Parts: sequence; structure tokens; C-alpha cells
Amino acid sequence: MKHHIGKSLAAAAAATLALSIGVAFADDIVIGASLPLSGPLAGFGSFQQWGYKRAVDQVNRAGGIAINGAKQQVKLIIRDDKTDPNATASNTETLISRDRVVAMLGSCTPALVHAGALVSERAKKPMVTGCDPLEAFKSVRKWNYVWDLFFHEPELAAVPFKAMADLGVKTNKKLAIWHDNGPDGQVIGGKIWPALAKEFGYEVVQNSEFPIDNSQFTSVIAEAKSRGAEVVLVDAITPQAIAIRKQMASAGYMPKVLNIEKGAEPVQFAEALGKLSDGILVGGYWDPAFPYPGAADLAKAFESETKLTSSQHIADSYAAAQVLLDAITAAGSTDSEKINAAIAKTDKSYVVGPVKFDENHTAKLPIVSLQWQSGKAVIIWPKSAKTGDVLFPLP
Amino acid sequence: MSDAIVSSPRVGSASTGGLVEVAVLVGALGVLWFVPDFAGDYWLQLGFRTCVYLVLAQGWNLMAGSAGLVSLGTSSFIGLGAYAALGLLNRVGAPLPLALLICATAGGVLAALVSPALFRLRGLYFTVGTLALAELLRLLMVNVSAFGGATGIILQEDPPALPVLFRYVLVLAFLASLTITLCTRTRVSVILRAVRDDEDAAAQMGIRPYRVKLGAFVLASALAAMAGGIQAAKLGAIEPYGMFGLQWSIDVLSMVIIGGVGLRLGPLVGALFVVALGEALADYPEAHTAIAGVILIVLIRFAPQGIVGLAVKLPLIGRVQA
Repeated sequence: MKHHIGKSLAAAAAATLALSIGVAFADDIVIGASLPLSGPLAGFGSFQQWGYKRAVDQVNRAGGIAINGAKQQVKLIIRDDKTDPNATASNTETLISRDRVVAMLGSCTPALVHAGALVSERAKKPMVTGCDPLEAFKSVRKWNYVWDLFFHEPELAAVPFKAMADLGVKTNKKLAIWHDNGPDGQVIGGKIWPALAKEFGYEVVQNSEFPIDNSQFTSVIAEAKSRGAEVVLVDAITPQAIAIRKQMASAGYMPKVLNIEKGAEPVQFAEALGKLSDGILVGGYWDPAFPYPGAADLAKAFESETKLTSSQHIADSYAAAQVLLDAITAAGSTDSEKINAAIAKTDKSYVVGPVKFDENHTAKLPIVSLQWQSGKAVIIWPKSAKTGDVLFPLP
Repeated sequence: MSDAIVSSPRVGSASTGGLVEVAVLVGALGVLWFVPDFAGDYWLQLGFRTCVYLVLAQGWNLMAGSAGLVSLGTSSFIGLGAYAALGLLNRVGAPLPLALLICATAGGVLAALVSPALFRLRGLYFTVGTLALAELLRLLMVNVSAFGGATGIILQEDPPALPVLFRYVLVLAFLASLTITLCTRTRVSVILRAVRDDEDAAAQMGIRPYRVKLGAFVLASALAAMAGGIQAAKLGAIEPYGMFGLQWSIDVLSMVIIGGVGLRLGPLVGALFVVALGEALADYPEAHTAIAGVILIVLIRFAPQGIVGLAVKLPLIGRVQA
């Protein structure tokens, strides 16, 4: 009887797996991506998906990529990693071993990007990613096949100090730092901001670290208020950033400058807070107003197609896909080594600015200071890029 | 229900059945050992995933199906094993097999340490208690910087090649299956089910329920920790949200329910089914979640003994059995 059950099950499993093997035309160039399309980071994933697809669609509409002299279409396979690094790794393994992708595009946030990147690296399949701060990316290992274009944490961390100095805002120079214990939170809030505070003449009256998913900030806020901090720098993800601002309002704490990295970036932050978001600063690596090829058009295309407000993440994902597609074009081959060598030679201006990878496989994106004003992110620093005047003090 | 499938040893036939089962396991190990010599990476990846799930499901089935301990704390031990393994590999340079052995010990010790508190709870309260344990450990890892905080730990050296990892996990799956066979083909099975069916009555019969439950809990936890250890070695980077996530516990529970709770072949069938379904619907994530949910609901409502239980009732198989 066991024999019969075993045979039936084996047949069923084999049939299911046979059906599951995706059908790709033999002459397609297959690239893959595992993205957080569900789970806590689904917001980021949807922007990335749009950016990746747009870049691939544009190449296909132009006839595809010439491989050994013959034009081939590009097939992009995207899998949902449910915001789980285990799923990212497993998706990447499947994309490489089953779908035979020639290269990969990255996920979002260090945990997810690294999970997939390590698989790509071991399989010697090139991966181009954004959405992973460069120091966090470099800290994992010496990369040979993975390339990251995103912001550099020390530059992002320096933006509020430089902006305050250049804009001449007057405060008592007492600074409170609140940061989560995630990879970039520990680097920016735990190390870089305290060092920069000293350099720019600020007194750090409080430095509080909290778990990424913390939801109660009343004691942290009360301490900063009691110590008279007029400048507050925060590094937290969006739900926590929203909670912090609301709890500050409840506690009647109004510093003159409030800068929230990471969490204040998506439009959902401003939508959730309404007027409370006014005056909040956040570092940005992209804006449709940037003077780079296609920047304004990209945001317009996103908004007209999706009827949603655009995000910075459409730009780094779109640029990452373009870098990879350009490399495949330059290689004229689907050979991983040739594509990887072509990525290394990237030196071109994309929608996010000039992209050229250094010896650590990283390319820094230029940083600006954005401020939420009536639900819109306005560039207030540097002066050369500004699209509006600073709102000071925090209303 | 078939005695050949259900873990119910009968005097006389039990030892023969047990020997056959052990022989089948040894044969399967012998055949599958050579799979890396001819199978591609994709099949090895699937094999690895199936073996990890099988190790977890075997332990959970023993605990829930045989001893009545329905746990949602599997992720506690997976996470513990993952952190222990990478800690040992990074800091001590321990060989992977030794690291996995220590992971198993750590899992067993943790289970023994928390059991006095957890075993005060019965039924649903025990389940909630195990869930709290997983959450507690996750928060501990997130908050203690010595464990890498929310950043987690990265394996400093590259893990062994996939064929090597496959063979390691194959041995783990073999050992897990062998151990469970020994438990279910001996008097231990009767004792476990006596405790599961009525703890107080079992105690009246001279059985010590605490020790019995402790044995099942420690064994299942040791297996989960080893599975976590090898999974971490393969990933090369771990963090608390992924390794202590509730999803692990839900996956294991689903596998055993789909396969058949308390049935000897349940974990294997459940693991194969979940991996195959996941691959079949990989391009349709929404459909995957919905279909998996519907399957669970239908099975719980119409076939509480899972696929294996259902298969046993099929006329063809029933006749063969008769």
C-alpha cells in the first residue's frame, strides 16, 4: 500500500513540478528580480517593480538587445519575497537554477538585498541593485558580481548639518539623536551623527537607540524635551517615523529642526501625518527636478500610469535596470562574466545622475535635503538644486 | 486507519514493520546520496528545501501528532540554531557538522529550560506560550547588539558548495526520520499517545507525563535547531526578523496538517506538497497564498487526517490494504 501511495505522490509531485517550469522562448534574454511585493516593505517593492519593468519595456519596444548580432527580447521574471530574506534567497536560487536568468536585479533594504546578493555572488551571476546603503553593502563582503548604486550613509548623514549651516538656521545647538538598531540606523545614528555633531559644534544631549519595530517613544521624547534639544535627528522606518511625529505633537514637544531619515521619505509618510509633516527634513537621492536625462519624464510617466505620487525608488530601480541592460548590450552576450565585466565599465549619466562603480562595486548617488511642505517634498538644499525656500522653525 | 501508516506499533508486527522502515530509510539515503552527481542545482535546491522542511515537520509531528503538544514556537529553535551555527562558524571556525551538533544541543537545552513554565500550560494555552517564546527570543535578538541587533550576523566565509550542503541536510533528514521511526515503532509511541489522549489517566497508569512531553519537546526542538543551523549556513546572512519569524512556525504546521497529523508519512507528504505547490505557483504569489489557504481549509474540514489519511481511504488503496 505504501508503494502505491508513494507512486501516486511521486507522480503528482512530478506533474506539478513539470507544470511549474516556466516557459521562456529560447532566444529571450532572461533577467530576474525578487522583490517585496507583499509584507511590510510592499510599498518599496511596488515602486521597484515599476522601475524595473519600465526599463525592460523600453528596451523591448526598441527591438531588444543584440546578442551575437541577432536582436533578442528581454524577459523580466519578478518573484515576491514577502519581505522575508529566506524567501529572497530561495527566489534567487530558483531564478538562477530553474529560470536560467543571465543576471539579477536587487531587492530593497540591506537584509533583503544581501540575502539575494549572496546567492548571486556564489552562483557568479551579476546583480545590479539600488536600495541598499553603500556602507551596509560594503560591510557584507568583498563583492565580485554584485553592484550597488545608492546613497552613501556618511554623505546622507552630513546633509542636515551642512543644510543647517548653509541656510543659517539659528538654534541653541543642542541635539537629540534617536535611531533604530537596523544596519543604517546603527551606522548613521550611532556613529556618524555624533561625530558630525562635534565637527559642526553641536552638543549631543541625548542619543537613544530603539528596536526597529518600537512603537512607544514617549520617554525618549520627554527626555529630549527636558534637555532642551532644539534639533532632533531621527533614523527610523516609516511606521515608527509617523509614530514619533504624532507622539511629539501629543507631548507638546516642538524642536526647531526635525530631520527624519529613511522613514520620512515615502509620500505615505506625509499622507499619514497631514499638516504634522510640514517642516520635516529628510535626505533625498532623487527628485523629478534633478537635471538628469529623463528625470521629469520618469515621474510623469509613473504618475500618469499608476495615478500615484512618485517615489525616489522608481529612479534607483529604473537606473539599476538600465545599467544592467546597457551592460548586456555592451557585452553583446549573455555570458555572465562578459556582462559582469561590462557593468564594471559603466560610466554614464542616468536618471539618478552619473553612475560609475568604484573598486567596492558601489556608485554614490548625489544627495539633497528635502522638506515636506503641504504634502509635497521640496528641495531646500543645496542652493543649486533648490525648488523652494526652507520652512523654519518647525511649524 | 492503516497501522502501516499510523504510528501505532503492534506487538509482533511492530518490530518487523520498524525494520522495514529503517531499511527503506537507509536505502533512500543510499540512493539520494548520489543525486548531486547527476542532478542540476535546481533539483538540489528543491531537495535541500524539502529536507529542511522534512526535519522540521518530523519533529513537529512527533510533538503535536503523537504527544499532543501543538507548538507555534518552532521559529524560536530555528532562530536559535541559526544564530548558534553562524556564531560557531564565525568565531570558533567549527566544522559545520560539529556546529550542527551543538545547535541540536542548544535547542534541546533551551527546550528543557523553558519546559517547566510551558508545561504548566495545556492545550491552547501551551500553544500561546510557545508563540510568546518565539516573540521573546526575536525581541531579545533585535535588542542585544552582541547578537548583531536588527542587522543580524553575516557568515564570514563562503558556505560549502550546494552538493555538500545537500548531503548534510540529507543526513539530517535521515537522522530525523530514523529517530522518529524509533519513537513511533516502539513502546514510546504508545506512551506518547497515552499522554496526548488523557494526561491525567496516563499518570494514573504509572506514566510520568512531564517526562514524556519533555522528551518529545526536547527532541523536536533539537531537530528544529539543526534545521535552522543548516539553513543559516546556506543563507550566509541572518537577521532576527527572518530567522525568528512566525512564518516558519506556520509553514511547519501547514505541512503536517496537509500531510496528515500523527501519520508516519504525513511530514514527508506535507513537505513535498508544500515545496511542489510553492514552485508551481511561484509566478503567481497571490494565487499561491489563496490556494494554500483554501487547501488547508478544505483539508481541515473534509480530511482532517490530511492527504495521507485521505489516500488510505481511497478504494484502490483500501483494497490493496485489505
